[in-house]
Amino acid sequence: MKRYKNLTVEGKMILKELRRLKIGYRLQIIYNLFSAGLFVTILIILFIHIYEVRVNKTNIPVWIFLIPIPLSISFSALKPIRLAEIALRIDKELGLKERLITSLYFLESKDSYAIPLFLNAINQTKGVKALSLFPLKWYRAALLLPLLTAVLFIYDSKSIDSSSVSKIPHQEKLVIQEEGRRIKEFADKLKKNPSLTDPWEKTLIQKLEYAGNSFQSEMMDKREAFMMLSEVSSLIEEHDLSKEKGDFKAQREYPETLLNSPLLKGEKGGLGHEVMDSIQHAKRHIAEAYTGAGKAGDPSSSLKAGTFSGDIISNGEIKSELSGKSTSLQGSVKKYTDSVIPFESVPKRYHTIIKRYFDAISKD
Amino acid sequence: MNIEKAHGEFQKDIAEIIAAVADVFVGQEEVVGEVITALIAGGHVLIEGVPGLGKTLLVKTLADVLDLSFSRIQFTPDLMPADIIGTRILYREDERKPEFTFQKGPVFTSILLADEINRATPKTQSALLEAMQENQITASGITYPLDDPFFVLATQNPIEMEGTYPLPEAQLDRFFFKIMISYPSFEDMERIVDLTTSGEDHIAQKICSRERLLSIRDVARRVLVSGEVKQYAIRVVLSTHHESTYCSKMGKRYIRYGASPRGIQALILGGKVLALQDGRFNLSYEDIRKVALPALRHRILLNFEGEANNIKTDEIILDILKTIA
Repeated sequence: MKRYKNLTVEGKMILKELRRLKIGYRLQIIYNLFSAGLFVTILIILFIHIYEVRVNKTNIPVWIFLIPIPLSISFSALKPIRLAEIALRIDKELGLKERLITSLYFLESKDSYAIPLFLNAINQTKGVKALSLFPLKWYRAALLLPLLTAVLFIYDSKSIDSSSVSKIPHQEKLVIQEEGRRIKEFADKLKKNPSLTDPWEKTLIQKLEYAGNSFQSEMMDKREAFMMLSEVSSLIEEHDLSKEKGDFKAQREYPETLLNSPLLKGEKGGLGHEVMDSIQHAKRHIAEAYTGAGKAGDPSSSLKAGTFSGDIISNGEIKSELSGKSTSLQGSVKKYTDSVIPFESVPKRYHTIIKRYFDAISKD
Repeated sequence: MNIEKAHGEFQKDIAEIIAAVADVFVGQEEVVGEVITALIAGGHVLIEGVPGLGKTLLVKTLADVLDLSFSRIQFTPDLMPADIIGTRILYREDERKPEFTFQKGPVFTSILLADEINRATPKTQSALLEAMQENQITASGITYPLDDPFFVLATQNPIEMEGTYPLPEAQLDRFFFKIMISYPSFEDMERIVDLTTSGEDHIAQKICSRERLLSIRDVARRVLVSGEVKQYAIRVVLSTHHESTYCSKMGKRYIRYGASPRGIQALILGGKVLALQDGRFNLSYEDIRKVALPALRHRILLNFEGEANNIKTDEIILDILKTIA
């Protein structure tokens, strides 16, 4: 900031006036930046929405208003405001015909015309309130658009699947909720088991818990829940627990404690079967409730019918499987084709990979 | 005397001068204002307009109001420089031996009307233009100062261009303002008829003395100009140069040569007089904008495309003022 020396009394008064009005100018800058920030946040959020970036959408309305505030304050604090800039703005706003900017220019001058000019300028600005000079204008578009977006997101997050859920008959809803309760109970049972300490086992329990909650609640994203269930299936397959107890691989990879766990002594041979059964059961019921399509015979007909296997989409390893294990993959697909979900409800980013997958299957 | 009070009185004087002249020279208030602005700023004026619009009346009235001497020269092709500035003649007083004495020409006056300046030869034109620039003339090695104030109001007729010698750009640049005079309105015509055919002589009142006028001129020059406003005036003038980055699209297309630094002087000095008229101690952007047309229109030279498309320099200046922030 420039330091003025040997100022007259009138010169000091001009400086004081300018500094007083500077506060309003800074507030206006913050406000304008905030409005601009709202627009930018909206654009980011729309981007998230269009490209289906996985975020917790319930927080978005809060982001819309919270992100621009610290941004605008910090930017305006960092931006130096010159007194000449303020003087020019005040001259323009009050129609002072450059009296203030000229006063500032001659602030240290001893010209006999400077004093009457200062007095003239002070008379014109005296009593003018900083906020009336630099009003925080109601930018209708700047505030209404974020507000509208926030409302839409709240509505959207509440009804991400509510549109499809609402189409589901009441009886079917009860089935889905019942399955959710069953999965949740099962997750709680696993949680209490002290022997399940491996990271993958903890992940499995978390995912089951989430899926259970999602199916029980009408508010939550059912697509996410499907993904969770499918990931649970993958985890089990990956760790080979769907095989019989005593399988060589299982024995080699998992500690004795886990294999001897009461949970593993299920009717069909242990934890793997129990979980898989639970998932298959849940997925079949839910998918049927969604689509009304019933069971699909094979993957290609599922696709034609607008449905496909839930496991396939969740399996991030499709690509690697395509490269070398198409036979086992086909078997895997057949195993799960009786669980179907609507093709439209699958995120678009998976569409290409799914089509490639079915192409590979049909070649086999 | 208190500066503000003195300033107020000067402001009042200017307003009274304009009102007194406009009272006789009916329907051309804007022209009167511009002429008086140039007079106070110490510049000369070129008026362009068809004959019969009262240019002589304007100058005569101005001289009456300001109590200044007045001369008129009708420029013709056979007019010689000596006819303007004067010449040495052999003169004998009483019984003494005859001596060469300098006989002063019509240029030795305070207000000079150079009527149809483009009808005289360039040699004669330049004799007057030199006097305008230097405020003095030199004859037979002796320098004679001209009156202070010395104000030339030259006119040219835009219609009859045959047999004329258009002023070159360098000479045009010496005029502070170029003022366009047009026909008065219907109502003003009625007033002119009443004033000139009723048999009553309308004589303008003396409002101001020579000394007072010179004081007003000094005061106007003291009006304060901030750096921003000064830079604005410079930007306006630079934007009349087609090679300048400030030049507008229209300017780049139609301008061959732009205004000289004299253009900036005219903008600032003319603007200062307007600020004084407005009772301000400082120059504003608006003052610059108000004087931009008369100060710059004769300082811009159009290129072939501009001439062919009948573009007016006024249009280019208005476009520049819109473009320049």
